[in-house]
Amino acid sequence: MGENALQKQRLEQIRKGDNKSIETLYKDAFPYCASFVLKNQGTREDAKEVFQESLLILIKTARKPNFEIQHSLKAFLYGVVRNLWLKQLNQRKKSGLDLIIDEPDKNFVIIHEDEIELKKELEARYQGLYDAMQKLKDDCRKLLNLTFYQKLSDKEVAPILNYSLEFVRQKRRRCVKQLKKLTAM
Amino acid sequence: MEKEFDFQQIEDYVVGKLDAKARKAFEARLATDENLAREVAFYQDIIEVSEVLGDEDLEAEIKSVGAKLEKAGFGMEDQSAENAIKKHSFSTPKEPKIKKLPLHRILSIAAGFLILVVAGGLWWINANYGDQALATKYFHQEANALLRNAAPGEEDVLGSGLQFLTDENYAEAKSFFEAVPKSDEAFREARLYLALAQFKSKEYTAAASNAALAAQTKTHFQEKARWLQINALLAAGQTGAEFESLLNDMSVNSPDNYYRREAAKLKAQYESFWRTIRLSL
Repeated sequence: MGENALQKQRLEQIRKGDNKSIETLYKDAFPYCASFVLKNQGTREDAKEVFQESLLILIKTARKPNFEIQHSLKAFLYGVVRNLWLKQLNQRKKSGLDLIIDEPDKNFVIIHEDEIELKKELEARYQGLYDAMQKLKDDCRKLLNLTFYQKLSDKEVAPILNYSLEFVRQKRRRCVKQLKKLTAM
Repeated sequence: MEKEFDFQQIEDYVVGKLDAKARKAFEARLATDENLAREVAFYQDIIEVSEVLGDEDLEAEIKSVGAKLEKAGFGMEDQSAENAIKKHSFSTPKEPKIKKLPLHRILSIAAGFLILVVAGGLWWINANYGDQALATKYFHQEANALLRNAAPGEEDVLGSGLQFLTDENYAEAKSFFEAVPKSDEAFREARLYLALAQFKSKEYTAAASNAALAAQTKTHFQEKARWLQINALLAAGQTGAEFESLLNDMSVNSPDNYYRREAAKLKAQYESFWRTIRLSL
């Protein structure tokens, strides 16, 4: 399998939240990404936090329609880590930065996210529904997550949950009804 | 008894799976059926909250992968980190050999360098604090948002024009919106979209004038029109009393309001030290 085809396959597995693929990528990319943080006034704990945040961003971005990657997943993650870490350093107002110069022929993708503010705003607006969704049984939570968060089609959801296509739809309807009861309480 | 809706169609609508024709027809029903609109709003809320919960679950999963690998001794030991650095070190530039140069040569190199730095600095200030740079920076994201919030029913009248805007066919969009007569109830909103098409075509003076027209009466798009007017005036270099008055009014502290927050940021950059430098040159 060519390199491009392999990247696409890995990206598809990560898009679907395949735990094994996430673990493989973590092992593959973490030392490479951590080196930038460690060389630029970061600790091991900093490297771990920034890397995990970047991995979250990668997985969410991979779920957007028509997302394509120009470089390897590792290079993409490196770009996000670099951007996040520089932003953090800027916020900590450290002086005398002595940055390592990257090889000039590499271009890294920069992603801008403001996850924390959005999360606080949404929590305030939707507290009742948020609490209700946490009370749902695992099967409903999983189904709503696959449909509305991971944005998988019913055809993709059915084999994951081992349901028929029609049952996926019926079950989702029941889960939404359950949510309505919980929010009405 | 709860009214039975076509739930598959509701779900397809909220996740964006309906084609343009089906979506338009569905939205026409939404405008007149309150129960349906309530049901759709509930599904949209589910999507919003699913984003938050999904992020939390994914974050927990990534942390657990990290913890599992850490437990297995991966990447967190001093030796592993050091090896990682050694393995992935970037090449550091070698110390250049310094030859002894005569003084006049050193001075001419220094002068050349200083000219480059000043030219670069001036370019940076202009690129980031020039009037058009500020206006297009703050208006860039706004463009698509203008198109999403037309009041129910009005989008049908202006639908074709909005499609031209979405397709970035600004010439056709301008012709379309210019043709909406004054007697039409969608006239002012058409002027807002005309102003947007003109802004995107860099016809800033005309954009400011039409945005001002759109902002004259209290409508659901009045603030958007004012914001567009401010950015168009700035891009046109018309930063006199009218511009400053609009910007001051718009940037009154209101953290929950998107336009007021953006206006406050624009005002800060507009009055910044770097822009003062640019103006004094």
